[in-house]
Amino acid sequence: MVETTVSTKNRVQPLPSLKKKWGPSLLWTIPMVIWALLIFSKGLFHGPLAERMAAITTTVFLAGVFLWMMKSGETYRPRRIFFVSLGFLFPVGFISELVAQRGTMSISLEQMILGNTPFCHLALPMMALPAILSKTIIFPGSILPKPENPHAFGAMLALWVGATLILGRGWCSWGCFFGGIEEGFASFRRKPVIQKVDRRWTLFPWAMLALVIVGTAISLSPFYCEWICPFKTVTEFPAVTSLRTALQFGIFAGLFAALVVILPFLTKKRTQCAFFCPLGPVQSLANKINIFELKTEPDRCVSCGLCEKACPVLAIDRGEVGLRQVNMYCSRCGACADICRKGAVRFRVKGTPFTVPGSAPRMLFLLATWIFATMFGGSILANSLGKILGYLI
Amino acid sequence: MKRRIHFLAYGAAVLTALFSLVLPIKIMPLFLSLVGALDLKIAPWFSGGEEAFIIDRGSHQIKVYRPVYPALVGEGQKGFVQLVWQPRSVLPLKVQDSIDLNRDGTVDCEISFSNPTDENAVLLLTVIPKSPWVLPVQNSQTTSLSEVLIEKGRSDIFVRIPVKKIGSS
Repeated sequence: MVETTVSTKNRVQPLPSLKKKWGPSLLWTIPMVIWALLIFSKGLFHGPLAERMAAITTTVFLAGVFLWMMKSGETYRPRRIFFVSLGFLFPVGFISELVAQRGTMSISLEQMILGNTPFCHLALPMMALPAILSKTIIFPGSILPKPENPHAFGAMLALWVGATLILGRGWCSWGCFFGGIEEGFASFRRKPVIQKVDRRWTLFPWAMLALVIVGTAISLSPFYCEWICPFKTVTEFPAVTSLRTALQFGIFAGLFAALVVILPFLTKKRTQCAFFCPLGPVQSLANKINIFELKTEPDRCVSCGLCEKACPVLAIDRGEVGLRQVNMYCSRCGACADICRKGAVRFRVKGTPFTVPGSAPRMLFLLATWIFATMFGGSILANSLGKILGYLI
Repeated sequence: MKRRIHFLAYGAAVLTALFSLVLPIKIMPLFLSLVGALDLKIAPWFSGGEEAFIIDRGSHQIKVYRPVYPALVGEGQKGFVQLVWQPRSVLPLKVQDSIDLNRDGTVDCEISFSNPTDENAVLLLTVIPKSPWVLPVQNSQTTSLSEVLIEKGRSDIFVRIPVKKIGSS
């Protein structure tokens, strides 16, 4: 590695070779616009005015973000705009639906018995052991979608498997709306108040994963959802009717405040995703089978440490650059690739050499990712925007 | 050889993009039918388990479910039997009934519960056991999903009666 005095000023300067002219940028964006129009066609052509406006706004927004990625060669900042919008708008649509259905954000035992609890991807790791042992899903929802509960276990499982094959742990930066909330709070400050975060915290999600699997098996209830999910605060939670349910809500709110708001704000890291989420380790393992990855080139590295500072999930440090890879926790947000002025970190297709400019692997990754993001995140954005516009119009 | 590997790798990347494209159209429905074929079930301590038989009381009926003994594998020692009274609209303000839970010809318990018209009123359940496997309940409100429950359905009343395996303490 070459030691140098490169400024560590935190400015994004993607390699010029990744930038495109207006013509090619627009040409790549057009298919994405058509895809978005196809996805939103129901709302666009058959929905009420609010839905139509939401579909058009979402299509324009997604097209703008994709065009930005194409034209500038940047990945992280355009993605962040999309992802944070997804994070902050998801609860709006979700809570609106809950309130319309049952008049409250809280879920009653009656709704649980009727199997009307929406299933969440964060609950998936806990379900594996009981499903294998006794073909039982320990969750008060339904297996297949029904009118009262479209967010059934089967639907979320299908979506998650698809997303994991396409994105690996990229799901955590392109799909998981909860991560978007956290990233929003991590983006408020230009510089972190807490500069150094111990990398050993990245091991904690493995302990969380073990805890929720064992906790679920012992308590015969979805342990994470029942006791320690920070995002219950902005989705749904058991109706507060006893000391137990009051304690549960207190834990949810406390964890949300600490892990999703305060710590990301202070550290500029995604603390819930990187140090707490039990789905994170599963997604990290999925990185091993995903065809895309971020790769480093030690000969180009000048040890400036920008990538280490930029990474929101502590997936890269100067030592790992020497190993020619980011670690398995990488969520493919693109922060390190964007910030590296020497082109020492690049998107790559596994099994192919590290190439500079490396625009083809990045393009393939963005195409696969954006097609999924339009379908999944775009639908959520359009739905939530439709709800907001519905109230306003 | 290297060129072949590169070709395969880029091919897989293109296929991933194509997979992303067909995911909502083809893959999701296919995967849903696969999940359906797996014969997975929601844990019976949430769903109430399988319906066993129906008792017809003329104006209303009582659905009796199979006993559920929650356990990760096999059956636990304690559990519940779910009963559903329907339709709720024809039930009196105080419901009293004797139920044979396992159709062996003998009454297993006497159940009574309030059925107030006020939606916010608390429903209270009393169970007097007539068989050793049924556990008593005295003027109880809903406490938890797996123990005692009396809840207002939209048109039904759900009751879960605590039971134990014969021989367990």
